Amino acid sequence: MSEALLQAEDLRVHFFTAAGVARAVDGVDLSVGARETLGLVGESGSGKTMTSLALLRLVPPPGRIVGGKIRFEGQDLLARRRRAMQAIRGKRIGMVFQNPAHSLDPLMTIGAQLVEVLRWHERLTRTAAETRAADLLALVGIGDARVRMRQYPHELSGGMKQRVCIARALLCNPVLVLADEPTTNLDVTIQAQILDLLHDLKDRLRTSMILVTHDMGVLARMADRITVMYAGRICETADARTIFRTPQHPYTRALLESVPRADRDYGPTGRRLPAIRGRPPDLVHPPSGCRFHPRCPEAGEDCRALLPLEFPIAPGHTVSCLRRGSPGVPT
Amino acid sequence: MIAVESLQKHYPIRRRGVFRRRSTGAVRAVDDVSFTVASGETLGLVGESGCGKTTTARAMLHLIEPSAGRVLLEGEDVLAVFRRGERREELRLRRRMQYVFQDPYLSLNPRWTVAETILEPLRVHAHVPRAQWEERLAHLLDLVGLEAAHAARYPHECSGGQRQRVGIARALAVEPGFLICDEPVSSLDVSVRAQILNLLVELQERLGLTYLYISHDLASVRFIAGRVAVMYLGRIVETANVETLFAHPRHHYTAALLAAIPVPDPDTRIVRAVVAGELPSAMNIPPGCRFHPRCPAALPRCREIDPPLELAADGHLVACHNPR
Repeated sequence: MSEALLQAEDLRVHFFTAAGVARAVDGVDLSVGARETLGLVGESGSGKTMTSLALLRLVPPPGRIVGGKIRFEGQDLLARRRRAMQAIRGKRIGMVFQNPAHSLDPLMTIGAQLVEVLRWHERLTRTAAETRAADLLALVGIGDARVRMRQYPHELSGGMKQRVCIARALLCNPVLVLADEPTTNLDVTIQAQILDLLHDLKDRLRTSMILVTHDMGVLARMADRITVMYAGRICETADARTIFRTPQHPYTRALLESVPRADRDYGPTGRRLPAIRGRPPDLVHPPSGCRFHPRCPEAGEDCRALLPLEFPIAPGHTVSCLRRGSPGVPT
Repeated sequence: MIAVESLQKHYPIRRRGVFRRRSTGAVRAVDDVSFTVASGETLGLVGESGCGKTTTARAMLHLIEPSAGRVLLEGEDVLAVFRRGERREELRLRRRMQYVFQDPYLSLNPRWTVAETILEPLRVHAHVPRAQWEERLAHLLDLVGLEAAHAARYPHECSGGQRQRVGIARALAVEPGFLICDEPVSSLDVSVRAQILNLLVELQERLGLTYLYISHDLASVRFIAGRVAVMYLGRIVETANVETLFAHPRHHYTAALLAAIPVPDPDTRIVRAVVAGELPSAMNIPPGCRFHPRCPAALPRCREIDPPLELAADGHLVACHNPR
């Protein structure tokens, strides 16, 4: 895809721990087009969060980006200097994290945290920055913006704090917003409000978004395209409807089936969920061959030996599974 | 099997005055909650954080002292027994009702092996001869789907799913009939949740257990529960069979809660958030119906009169002046 806004190729993030090297992200390719929402889905330990942090070069130690390429607006992000990255983070790429309480400074007022961003990135005067901050707070649905700006994070509810974080991410008109589990800590009624807000803002401001989540319901509501990750590798990428209607990778299928659904009747007796057996693998000693083979209902002998590579099975639909025709490399 | 009658838990708010501390109000965490759970049934107790679900559960087992109300286990006043403080009597009741905690990381002692954790209740209750412990341990491990080799492991050597299995085995060690499961799958990985939910259903079928299943996740409640009670700000606002409740919610809060669940299907009609605003503080509960400030169908009297939980035509219990 030549028109991609952001493109990662063969991205690798390793964690150098006392127990050994954990391959948290192990050869990930992904791309986000203009005005597109890419959903990055997986369980904890699948590498979805580390992939998103790596895109901004924010991988915490003992982790390190050990390989790959990241192209954003025509530049190679991994070749940039540290300081040059700061001109991108928060300005060209906005960020919203899972826990709004942890991503706001408890000792600074809401206003000060927003103004700081604008003073740094846009070199605005204090008054101009305050006006812009108040406008953004109003945009994300916070009434009495000027009053709120004088308050501290602890004076706001969880939903309000997340609105502030979204406003902060949008201050400099970014072309891409990276949202990592933005609604996971919120109650469902508040989650619905925040998802509505993100959806509307993305349309109005014409931004692209990478949405990291483990919740297939949130993805169905938000994503245009979905990339499914398991144990540091990509299983499947396709447009959202294909992922939900005709998923090809056994893990994608199992993940969709194993989740209980509020819109399905289970009946009084004999109900069982089609659970995925076993548990997510240890990334220091991942399984040989296909990472999913010990839990896969379709695995054969070859899956134990060969690591499947992503392979296009339809336009815009790639799968890495030997049973679906992907080529394999010996591990 | 179990009946909760007008259970209340109020926390006084104290301010330091000039000469003494004064009580200036109360957090009404649980405010007049009544429900029953029939033998062999699963009652799902749902609501958003802060609505009082966990406080209700803990008060039922006297893990915290309720301010008022009764809990009857097959007709016996449980709280009265606990308050009397006779240890043998208390243990006798605790052998019949047990608790599975939300977080298997925090609810297991990291310095105990799995076997020590599971056998701890037998040590406390001392109702099973020591000679049978080995056999009981093997039986419990098998029951929850763990292998004999897990007995010697420490919690940090177990995965989240295995830890929750240990938590369930510990609760089952004294062979209770009634289990309170407080968000038992919320802290687990998505692919492991289904295993634990299946295990709970299987155990219920094999052992005839009765569950109070507490969760904010309505999808898992739909799977596991036979009947559902919806809580809002310390009060039950609606109770019905699971199919009825999900198909025809009568209370506007239940309807909003259901509409807010993101369904994993991109072709589902997108319902925009129906309820504006946020959960009021339990320190400052609105007068009249506590949901009226956020309710799309509030009438003038909703502001003044607190609606009681009443039986509607289709077997629903609803606390609303203007039900759907």
